[in-house]
Amino acid sequence: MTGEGAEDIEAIEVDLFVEALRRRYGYDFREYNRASLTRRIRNLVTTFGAGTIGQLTDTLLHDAARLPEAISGLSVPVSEFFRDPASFACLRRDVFPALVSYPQVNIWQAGCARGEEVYSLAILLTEAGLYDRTRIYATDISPDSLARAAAGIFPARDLRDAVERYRSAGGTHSLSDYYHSRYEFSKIDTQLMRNITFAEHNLVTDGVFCEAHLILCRNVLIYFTNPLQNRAIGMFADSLVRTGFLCLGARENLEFSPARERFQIVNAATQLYRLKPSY
Amino acid sequence: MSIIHDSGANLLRLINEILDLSKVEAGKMELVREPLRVADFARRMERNFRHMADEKGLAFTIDVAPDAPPVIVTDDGKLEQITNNLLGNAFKFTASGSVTVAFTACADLAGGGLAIEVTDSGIGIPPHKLDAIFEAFEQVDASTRRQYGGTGLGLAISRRLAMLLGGDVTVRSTEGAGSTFRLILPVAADAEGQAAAREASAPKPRTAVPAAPPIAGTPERPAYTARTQPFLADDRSLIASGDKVVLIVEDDAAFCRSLMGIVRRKGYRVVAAGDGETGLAFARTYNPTGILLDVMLPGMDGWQVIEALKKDPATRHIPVHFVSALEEAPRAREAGAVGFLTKPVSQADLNGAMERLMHFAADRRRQVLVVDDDPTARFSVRKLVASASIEIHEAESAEDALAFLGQHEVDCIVLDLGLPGMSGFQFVEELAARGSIVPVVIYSARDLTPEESLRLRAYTDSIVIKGARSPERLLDEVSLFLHSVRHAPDAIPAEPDGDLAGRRLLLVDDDMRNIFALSKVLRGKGINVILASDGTKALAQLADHPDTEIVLMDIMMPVMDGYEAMGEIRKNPAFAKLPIIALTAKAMTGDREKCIAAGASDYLSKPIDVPKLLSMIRVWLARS
Ligand SMILES: C[S@@+](CC[C@H](N)C(=O)[O-])C[C@H]1O[C@@H](n2cnc3c(N)ncnc32)[C@H](O)[C@@H]1O
Repeated sequence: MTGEGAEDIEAIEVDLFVEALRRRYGYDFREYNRASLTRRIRNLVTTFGAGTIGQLTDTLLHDAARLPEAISGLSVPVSEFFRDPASFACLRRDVFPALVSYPQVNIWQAGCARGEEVYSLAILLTEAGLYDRTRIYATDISPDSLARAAAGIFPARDLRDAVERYRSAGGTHSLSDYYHSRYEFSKIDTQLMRNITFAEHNLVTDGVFCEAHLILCRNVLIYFTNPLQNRAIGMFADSLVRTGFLCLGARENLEFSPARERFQIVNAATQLYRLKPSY
Repeated sequence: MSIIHDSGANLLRLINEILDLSKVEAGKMELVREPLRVADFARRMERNFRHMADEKGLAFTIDVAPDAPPVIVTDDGKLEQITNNLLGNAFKFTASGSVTVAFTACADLAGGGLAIEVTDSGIGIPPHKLDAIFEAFEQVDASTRRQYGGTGLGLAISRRLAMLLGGDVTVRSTEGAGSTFRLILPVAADAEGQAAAREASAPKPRTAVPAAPPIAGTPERPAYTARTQPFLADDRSLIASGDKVVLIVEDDAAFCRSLMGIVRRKGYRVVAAGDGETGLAFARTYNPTGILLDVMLPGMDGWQVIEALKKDPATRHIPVHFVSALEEAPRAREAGAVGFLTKPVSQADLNGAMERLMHFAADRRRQVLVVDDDPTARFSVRKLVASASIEIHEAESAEDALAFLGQHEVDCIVLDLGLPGMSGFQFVEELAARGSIVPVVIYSARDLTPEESLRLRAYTDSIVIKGARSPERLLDEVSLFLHSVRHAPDAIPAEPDGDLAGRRLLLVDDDMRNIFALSKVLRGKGINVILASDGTKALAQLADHPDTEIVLMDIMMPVMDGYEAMGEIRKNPAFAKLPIIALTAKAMTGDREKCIAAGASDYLSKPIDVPKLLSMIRVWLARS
């Protein structure tokens, strides 16, 4: 059998897998970047101990209990505290002062993975004196990741390694003020958790659910093809208040999105945008 | 030119002035238009009047705002004649205090303009005389005339000259406190002149003069082209730049003539078109302040005309009022008209129609009411928001503001919350109860509790907390309302609905925008709406209001989400049958079932389709 033929079979299997998840559970991965999706499906085959993608599909069709595990495997929940510190520094400098004029501030963090980013944000908001009036909606497609995020327990190393980034993000206290460590784990201070709402939300199928003054969606759109990126960005624009802020990941931008003209660039290096007032 | 001080020259001056006036009125005055540097002109003014100020011991300041056009194209001599007259009067009628001159940009004129305001702290003019002072031979009264001299012709001539230059002179005054005469002039009276003015005000990069829009009818309908012969004798040959023009599109000549009479009596120039194609072409050519539009027309009908007007960025902003034989107000509203009259119409109807047109006119000065008990706070808002195209009114209490609003139309209210007497909260509620649709921007000196902002958000979504960066946002919010043409269709009040009026509904949502939009619609139907922003608060509201008849429940909420809240509600036997409609942004397979399983009676996905929601509410209220 030629290599080309083998690839064809895998492509068919991926199609069927995607179709099965969509029709059986409503999770729609059709507009995900195929190459990386295929890589993750292959990994799932291994972790599920299935021989082929076809067998993996079969398992998932019949055993709904294993769905969260599969979603979590497909969703790449890699992150770290104060990832891309320049981006956080920019939020502190350019966004927080503008948020002070609102009586209540809503932040939507889309694709929150296991919560590293949302806790980083909560720390900086606390230091800026804004956290009391802030509500953060941290959403993700993966129930597993959300449960981990809500528990707020991380390998102690993760936090120790973040000290340098916390400093360059403009942190002014000691990072250890915000967690307690026991053995090799650290638990985030409950004070930091009090204004965070974790919720399942799928950027592919679900809609606007809050009015946000700031939306962070970093390192999520890279997994999407253009039409899906555009859907998400359109939804962000609809969720934002007039002149609200949108922050994307370092490798993402709005340049090719039809919603581009609804935004102005605040800081190109950190992919920070602001919704134009529309009148 | 020198100023005449000698009263012995009075007779000569009177004769000259009468000659001038008759020349202007006969249209014989010749104009020499040339680029004029505004800064130079201001300096000349200073030179001409400094000695007079010193002589009378008056403070005299001239201020050229940074936004004033640097160069205008006009007749220098005529302009000086006008300002000499205004300044001469100011010094003449002011015994102590000051005379100030301010040069600013004037947004009221198409193509840009310059405003020169001459303000004095003199004797002022009584209100009933304000209209008359521009008539020839009028002065406040005989005794002032004796005291101050003068022929009484100056202002009449100045005004005529200003109009000749494409501008106007207007006055505001408080008796005993002083007057402000405002002269406005176009940067240039025509496109060519505008280009010259731009060029002369180097070193800005040059912008191309936009190509003139096509004047003939729309290309899609070549069979019927616009007519160039006037349909009726209208004012198109008389229009000077700065004149306000109303376009009438009406094929019934007799009716059209009577409309023209009314419009002219209100001080507008009229252009009339007897068919839709011509009307459309005239709208583009004359950029009228407003349009009165018939529906049934030869060729293109009124619906097609308004559609074409709204599609074209050059005419989209022009308010359109229908006058038609058939009652089709809802369709007119949808098409973007500001009003609809059904023939036959009374004089009062037409006055009303004109008022609406002018209220929505793009070049009208916008009215802002600032409600704050602290004069310094009012002053800083005034300083922040003020511009040539915005007029600011102040009220120091909610009661005063309500009284003012009973008499005047405003475009936007800036409201402080901590007021003596009636609070800001009660004020917005009272406004809503009166059916007011004026947008309110809250400008609060203190932070708000979540309950307070929830209470306000049912009435406004613009809340600004004072702080370092807040003025910027306040300005954003206010200008949004002032420049939005979108609020026009909102102006038609919702009708209370027979079957829903008086019903009691609990709306649970953390999305403030939804709360704002939905509660407005529901209250408009006469429903008593109570609010909660999460599940826990919903339970508390139900405990306080056990007579609630229906609940709208959002799902994704902080503290306690909608699933859990519905479960809690159903645990109470008293609420076992209470209709609950779940509202959710989630659209995945199984989300509906999850809602029903959690206790929802029905389910609606976001964004909410309002008619669908209303019929769902009706169905559930009818059943119970
Ligand atoms: C690489 S992580 C990014 C984490 C974090 N934002 C950061 O930048 O460090 C990508 C996250 O996007 C989530 N995700 C993928 N598809 C999604 C979708 N359709 N809706 C919501 N979240 C999604 C994944 O579950 C994963 O947690």
